[in-house]
Amino acid sequence: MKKFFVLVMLLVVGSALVGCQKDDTIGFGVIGPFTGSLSSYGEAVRKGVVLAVEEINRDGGVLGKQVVLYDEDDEGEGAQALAAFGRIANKIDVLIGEVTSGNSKIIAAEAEDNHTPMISPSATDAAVTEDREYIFRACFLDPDQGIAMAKFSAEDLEATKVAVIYDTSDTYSKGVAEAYRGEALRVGLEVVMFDGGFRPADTDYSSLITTLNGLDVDVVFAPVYYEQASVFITQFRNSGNEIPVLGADGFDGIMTVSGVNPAKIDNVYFSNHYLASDLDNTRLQAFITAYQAKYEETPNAFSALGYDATYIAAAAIREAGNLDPIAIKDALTVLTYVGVTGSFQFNETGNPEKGITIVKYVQGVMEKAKVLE
Amino acid sequence: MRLNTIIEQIMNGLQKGSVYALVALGYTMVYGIVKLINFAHGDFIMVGAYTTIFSIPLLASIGCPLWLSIIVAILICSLLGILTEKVAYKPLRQSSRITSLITAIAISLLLQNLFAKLFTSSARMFTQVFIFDVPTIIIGTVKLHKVSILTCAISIVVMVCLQLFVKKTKMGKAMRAVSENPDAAKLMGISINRVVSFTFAIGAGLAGLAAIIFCSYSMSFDPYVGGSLGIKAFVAAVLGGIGSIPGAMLGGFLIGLSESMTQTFLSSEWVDIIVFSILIFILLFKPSGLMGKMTSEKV
Repeated sequence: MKKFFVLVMLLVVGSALVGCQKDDTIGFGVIGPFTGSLSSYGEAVRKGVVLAVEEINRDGGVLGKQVVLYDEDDEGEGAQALAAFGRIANKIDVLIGEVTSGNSKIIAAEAEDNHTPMISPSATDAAVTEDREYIFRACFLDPDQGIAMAKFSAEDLEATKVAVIYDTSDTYSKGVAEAYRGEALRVGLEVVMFDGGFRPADTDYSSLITTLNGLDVDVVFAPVYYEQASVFITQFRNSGNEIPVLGADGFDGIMTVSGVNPAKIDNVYFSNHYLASDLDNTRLQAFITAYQAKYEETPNAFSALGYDATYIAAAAIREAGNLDPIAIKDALTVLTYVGVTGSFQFNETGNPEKGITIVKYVQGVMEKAKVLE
Repeated sequence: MRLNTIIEQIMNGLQKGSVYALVALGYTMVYGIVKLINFAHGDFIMVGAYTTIFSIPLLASIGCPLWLSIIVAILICSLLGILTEKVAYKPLRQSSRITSLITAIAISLLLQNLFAKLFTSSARMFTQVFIFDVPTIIIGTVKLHKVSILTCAISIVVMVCLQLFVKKTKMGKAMRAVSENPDAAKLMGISINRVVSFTFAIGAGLAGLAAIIFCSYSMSFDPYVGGSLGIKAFVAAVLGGIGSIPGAMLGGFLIGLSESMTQTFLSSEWVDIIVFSILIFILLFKPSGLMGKMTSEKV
């Protein structure tokens, strides 16, 4: 019995030692949907993170140590996201991830328990950072998007009646939709329809569109992801309806869907983190140049957010002066940073104060519609 | 609600229903002859969709008219059906039904994951509407999409042809014989293998046709479309009476209409609830489905 006990203790200590990384490197983790229906976002984030890590290492690393990146694909699935975190939790000092609100919430619970500082580049659901000390984000919140789009509908598009359609199976979609409705009612808009018309695995929106065409509305707000958005907008325009279609940051990526017809993606507005063709931010231009040199494509908001999130993590570690999770977490809580997607002022909520850009699709090309600070 | 909106919604329901009907036909035919629920049937459609989207540029490059891709899709699906039957179902003909069912599910998962691996699981849009991109007919204030009418017409024509085929031709007779009593059929000199292969070829070919129609109005697909489409079509087949060709058609249209009517008059969240409640309700009162026959075990 005693021998067995000693053996077990040896194994435990041994595995603990194996789990620790070497002292001369820092571990950054990135988890996201690198394949699957959300791969447009996951891959964009990953590329931004990889570029940032390369630059940081080239410039001497953090606290004199090189950064090692552990990237894990979760295909957009919650169970896989959790497993991915489990695989790298012991090797990393900071986690950049996850990309979507749903999976970020799942991993955040684990990361909080594990005391792993986590920065999500793009999760916009308020619940991700709520009541948590170790969880941060580099982007704005869903409610902010819904509110901004509602104000935009009323003030800039001069709408009086709106229809809101969302995806019932997605907390992101429902969250933004509800925030929009709340603000819409507050500014005096009439919400004629509030329906979960986007059902998973069904891209035939003809019934929904027939209903919409029978209503007298000025705009349609559909905060869904780009795969459904591209099909819905195309079918909607095919039915002859030209009213503006509004969305949230999930619309970023519509043009990446294979087979999409740019002419149909017109008079579409969505809230996003930034617009690459705008901003005389020299950091942004340097980022775009470097990104294009490395990947031979232009970056989108998610790449930029991944890039910023990585630099934010590095900045926090430098401020902390060491790799103690508590020190990193405390440094993050008060961090001020200027990145390619704007300026960040963090606070104890884990959410930064930063601005929203409203982008317009004109025949498939993105243009700046409005910038809200 | 205005009348023209209601009529449009009915057309939407029929359009959706015609795809369910075509798929249900495939399910019902295979079940009728081989007594096997081919769960991979929905995924044959997925294969048909991918075939279409890849054969279009191929045909364009050799100068063939694009609508030939329909023929290509149907052919490939038929071949896939025959192949699946030979490789996976034939060896299990003497085994219990559960075994065949599990194999069918396995084939379904295999196809889904194979295509996800080969072509990534991102959705693709299908806007090559070479035949189906037609303007709408306007009667008074009602907009009738030609697409809806075409798809319904195609489904009904296919069903009628199939029914005629089964009732009037020699092969059809052979199929009916195998369905009633395989052993007696064998004694009569009917080649079971030939009949079964033929059945799968037709069933899968129908899936190929359904794929084109599905793509033209649904406009987007990914490796997993077969799953949900297959379930709805299976429900339609059971609702109409599994083994009955007109039943599959009826079931398909019924499901399609229920979906669109529920979305119109209630809300989208109720659609699946209503559809499956209808199924349960019908089966409670007529377990063999609307047009199915009660088969009692012969002692």
